[in-house]
Amino acid sequence: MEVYLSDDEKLFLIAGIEDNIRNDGRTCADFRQVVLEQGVLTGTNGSCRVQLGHTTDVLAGIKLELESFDKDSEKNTPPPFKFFVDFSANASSQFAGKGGDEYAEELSAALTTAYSNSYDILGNLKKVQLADGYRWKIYVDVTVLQWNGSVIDAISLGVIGALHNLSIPEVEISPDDGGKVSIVLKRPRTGGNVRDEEVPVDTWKLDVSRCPLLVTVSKIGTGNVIDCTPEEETCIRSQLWVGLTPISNNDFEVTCVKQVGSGLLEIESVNEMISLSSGAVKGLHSALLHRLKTEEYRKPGHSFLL
Amino acid sequence: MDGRRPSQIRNINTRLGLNRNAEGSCYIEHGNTKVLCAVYGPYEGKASKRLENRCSIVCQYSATTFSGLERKNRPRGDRKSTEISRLLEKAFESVILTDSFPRSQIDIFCEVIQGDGSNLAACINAISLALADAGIPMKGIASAVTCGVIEGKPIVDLTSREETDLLPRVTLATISGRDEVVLVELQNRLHIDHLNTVMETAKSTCADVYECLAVVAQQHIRACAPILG
Repeated sequence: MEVYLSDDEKLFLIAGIEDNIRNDGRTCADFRQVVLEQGVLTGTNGSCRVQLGHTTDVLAGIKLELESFDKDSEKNTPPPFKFFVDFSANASSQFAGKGGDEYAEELSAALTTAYSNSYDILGNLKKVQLADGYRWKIYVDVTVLQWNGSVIDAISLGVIGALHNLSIPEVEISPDDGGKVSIVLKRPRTGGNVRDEEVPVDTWKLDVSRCPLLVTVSKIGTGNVIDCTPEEETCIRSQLWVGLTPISNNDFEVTCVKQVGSGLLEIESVNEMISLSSGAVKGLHSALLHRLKTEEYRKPGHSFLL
Repeated sequence: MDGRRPSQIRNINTRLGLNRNAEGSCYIEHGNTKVLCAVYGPYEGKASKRLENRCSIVCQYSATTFSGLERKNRPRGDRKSTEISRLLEKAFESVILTDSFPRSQIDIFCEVIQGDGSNLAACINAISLALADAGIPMKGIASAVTCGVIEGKPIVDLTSREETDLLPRVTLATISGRDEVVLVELQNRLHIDHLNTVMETAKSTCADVYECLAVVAQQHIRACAPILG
């Protein structure tokens, strides 16, 4: 969607932001309304849908795959995540065909950077290493259904929601011939080697309380703004993606900083923007954890988007 | 397989007009098959695609990487999705009154969020409703269904478990549930004796699906009436 604003409209927006008031009544550090739903897709191991300000709409789905690797050739265990972002043409006709691929690539690279030290931020992630030579590969796929600014913020929320929703099946590992192992889903045995197929498999969940949140901070006029609308994005001087992960109750660690788009920034304003974002993320993070804990699970057959 | 009778379709749920950026949009569910569709246009499109006497139609079919049983590597651009895109284009060229918009272009985008069989049929139904939401003149609302044959008996609205490699299946789309066929696609081999029965069943099911879609469209128009005045 392309937005065209006249110079006067832009001036009005910029003057407002310098006085800490925005067109929709927010201050510069406020997010739009966030709607988060978990477990929306039955065909995935974990899924989440995030809506930002009624229009930016993001769907994240996770699929697990058993992967074998050569334990001798790998020195450091790589993170098990594989991020992939796709812009649906539904979001805007400019994303038709290969239109959104470059931007999507940039977004998935930022996610990968933010999650690069994932064994530290997800406490129990080591458990995905099943046995020598086998591990779960976690494919995190994000589809942008509607686009209306601040898409990386919505994506990072969606990824956390989906990771929280993700249930990884418990497996039983037994040694097999030739130094190999056989991996079987954990189910109670009914006798001998027969397993009860009716009983659902035990699952475990990841601890997502320290997952990084990514936010967009934009420089408009002399003010720094969080969660821009498309109208505000037309007045941007420069934009910064900041990835923050909580280390203690009120402290955040920066896991990713990236300048996007054109424009110049001074070193001091980079620091200002990062401190603004960490302030805003504090509120968002506690709200997110509260939501993840208290969300009621939907009944089977209930459908989203309706 | 899921407790339905052979001639019973899955539950259809719809929502229209949920995408604010697009002229028309629709979300449809056939059981667990979930499709989102958006229509942009008619607008002055690319010069290379412009036709002097009618409008050109551009379709894009894509399925999310997590839509199927196995993860896909690419959401679009593979052979199957390109083939489906072309099929949809050709089908809707004969449904939309293309003569009304010379020198313009209509974009139709389909996104399969979750695929559980009959994806193509669900896409056609979604597009029909999205076009109706956009207010684009058509000959009628197109409806579609996928039919398979097991031991000589036709079964309708296949799920992905039923869409096996060997089962012959026909996807049929008609306009307004009548005899005008806009799309037929047959996969796998089917004995010619069975063809007639399958086509008959598919045609009558198309009429049933049309009834559902028509009700949705009428409800939507009624809901929009206060805005349109």
